[in-house]
Amino acid sequence: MERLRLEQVSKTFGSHLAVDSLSLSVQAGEIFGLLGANGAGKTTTMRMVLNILKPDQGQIYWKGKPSYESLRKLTGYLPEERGLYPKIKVSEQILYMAKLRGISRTDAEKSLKYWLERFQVLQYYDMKVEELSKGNQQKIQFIAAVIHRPEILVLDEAFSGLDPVNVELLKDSVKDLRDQGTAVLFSTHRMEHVEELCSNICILHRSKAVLKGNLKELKQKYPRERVQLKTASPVEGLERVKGVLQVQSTENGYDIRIADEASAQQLLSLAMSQTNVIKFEVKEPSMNEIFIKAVGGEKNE
Amino acid sequence: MNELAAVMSFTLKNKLKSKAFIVTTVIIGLLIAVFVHLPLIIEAFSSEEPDRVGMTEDESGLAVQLKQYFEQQSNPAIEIVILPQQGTAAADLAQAREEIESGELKGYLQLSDDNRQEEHAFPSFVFHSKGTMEFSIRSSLERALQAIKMEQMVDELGLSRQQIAALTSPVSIQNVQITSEAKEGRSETEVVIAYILVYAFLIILFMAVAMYGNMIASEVTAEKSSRVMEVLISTVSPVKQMFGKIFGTCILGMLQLAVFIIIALAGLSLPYNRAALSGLNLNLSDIPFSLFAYFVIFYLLGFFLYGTVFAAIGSIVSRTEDLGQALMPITLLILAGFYIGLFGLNAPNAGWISAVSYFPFFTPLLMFMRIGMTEPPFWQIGLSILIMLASILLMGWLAAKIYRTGVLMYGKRPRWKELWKAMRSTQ
Repeated sequence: MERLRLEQVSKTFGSHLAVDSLSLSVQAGEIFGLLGANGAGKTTTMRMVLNILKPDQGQIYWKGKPSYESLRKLTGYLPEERGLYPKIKVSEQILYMAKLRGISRTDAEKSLKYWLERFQVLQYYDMKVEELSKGNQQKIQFIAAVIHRPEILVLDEAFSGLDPVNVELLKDSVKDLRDQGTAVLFSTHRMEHVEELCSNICILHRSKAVLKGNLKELKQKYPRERVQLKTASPVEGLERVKGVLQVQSTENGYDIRIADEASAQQLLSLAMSQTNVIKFEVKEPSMNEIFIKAVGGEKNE
Repeated sequence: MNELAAVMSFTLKNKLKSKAFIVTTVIIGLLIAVFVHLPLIIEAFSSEEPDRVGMTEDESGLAVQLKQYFEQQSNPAIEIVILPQQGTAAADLAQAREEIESGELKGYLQLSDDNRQEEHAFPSFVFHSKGTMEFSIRSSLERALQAIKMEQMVDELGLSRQQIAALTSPVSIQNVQITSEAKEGRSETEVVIAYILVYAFLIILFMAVAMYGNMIASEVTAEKSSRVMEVLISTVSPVKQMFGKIFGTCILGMLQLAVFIIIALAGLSLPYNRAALSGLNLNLSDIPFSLFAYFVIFYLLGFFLYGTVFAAIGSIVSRTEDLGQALMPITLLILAGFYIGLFGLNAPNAGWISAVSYFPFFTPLLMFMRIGMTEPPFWQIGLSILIMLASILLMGWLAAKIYRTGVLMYGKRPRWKELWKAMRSTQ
């Protein structure tokens, strides 16, 4: 079920075109990756989704409607720049934000307790935000974004600045919310998170969508151009195989770039003829590579 | 509407709980309580005992006359102590000096020899004391000597009692104010009360607008610099946020002012203070009720006009450090209004003051001052209130527009041109 749809949305600030006719659609129970270099237009897109900014052109549909009367209840937002009242107790400000979202106090209280417990920080209920560590503040910020069970959740760099344990904790929470049917619009610079979480992505570059679609399908469209090879002893003459572009010796063996997939089999037989092959893999392109390719070799921002 | 109330109560609650607010309220409250009791405190610390001043016996008899003069008074400021003659003036002085050193005497009044030879001449004096600022002792002595001198001269001239009384009775001038309306003008004490009251209210208005305005601006900037704003604008429309904050701070201000006024009034209506006031012919119930009503009206109008401006300025600044500079122009505007108001207290009928009292940023201070000091026709008051209401609507609309744009702009404080451009592109 479609939760969010952008149709040919454009936004201009003065003479600067921040978002250029962007279209995308996010389903319930889906994490949609909105990717792009800094200044590509991600934040502007998110602000339009949250109705903080109005698009100059195009139309946004929330649950199929071009305007939604209680958007503040429908959407949740974790901004890239963290922001909480430093001198106010955790419980007070979360309950305040819940109240602004139109949630009853008892519901908010229950929900807050649930999340604090889940993040193992129940003892912070009565503490001021400035007394918490950065990672814990981020958990509180996350709770502020989801306290009212939004159907559309916008996460801008949700996991930055967290240690690996806490990243897992938050990632699991995002996955849970997805499984409960939340539509998540997710932005990050960490491509491994995209691979792990997102089913569909859109890469923005200089205000335009340069690549869009299902992550698996996109990967299949990209040729498999990398071979990873691990052998018992060194292999001679890998460079001379037809179609090989570059051979790199690594600690684990060889990292080989090829022009087309056919060369892979020749590499394998060459290696097998000389020594024992421990590992051989024709790798699909990583999200990192796809991103760099999409955004282009040209030096950008 | 719910969100507006939520923002209001959140602003109010957090300010009420903040240490800074509690501390300032307590300190200012104490200061007011002390100030109200100042006459009593001064009285308690100043001794009832008259200051003792020494004089050497002398054939002119002046020392005895002076002593008698002060003894006749019901509550004399000075008691004359007559010292025995030691032969020479230098020895007399040395003796007095010892007494002064030991604290027995406050000072020593010595007859000077300068014009003693002349017939009928009243002698001149030298006053010796440790202090350099004994003005009150000196003036008491001067008054006493003047009276004695007068009596002596009158005796010599042989005037009758009636003639003396006619000569010494003071000249009297009474002030009655002429007003446009047919009713009687205000009496002198009413004008004094109005003057004191308007003066006090001007200070309160000025302080309140400046203080609470700053509070609004710094809260907005703090929300921006701590980036809570990012979350807030996705939940509440900026306009509701801004007005919620202004209303919340307004209620806070009224609560604080109410506390101060209650402390002041409670202090003033204590029996001993009331007696002191009525001794000065001042009575709290003489204050016209309408003046209080106008105070509240102009307080609210001024608060909302300046509040919107302060909020708008707060919204375009991203760092608290830059706020003071950005607020400078508006602070100067309030200061200007305040000083014109103080000046106007002494010339409330000046044409140019009437003219600038319609300038909305000055109206709360100046029109209020005019109402207190003179009696401007009702249409003038009404007109100024209408102008203020219109300006509040206009400023509120403009401030909301700036606010909506400003809260999203970070980094360097935008120039007007950039702000204008951004304002046109948001919504």
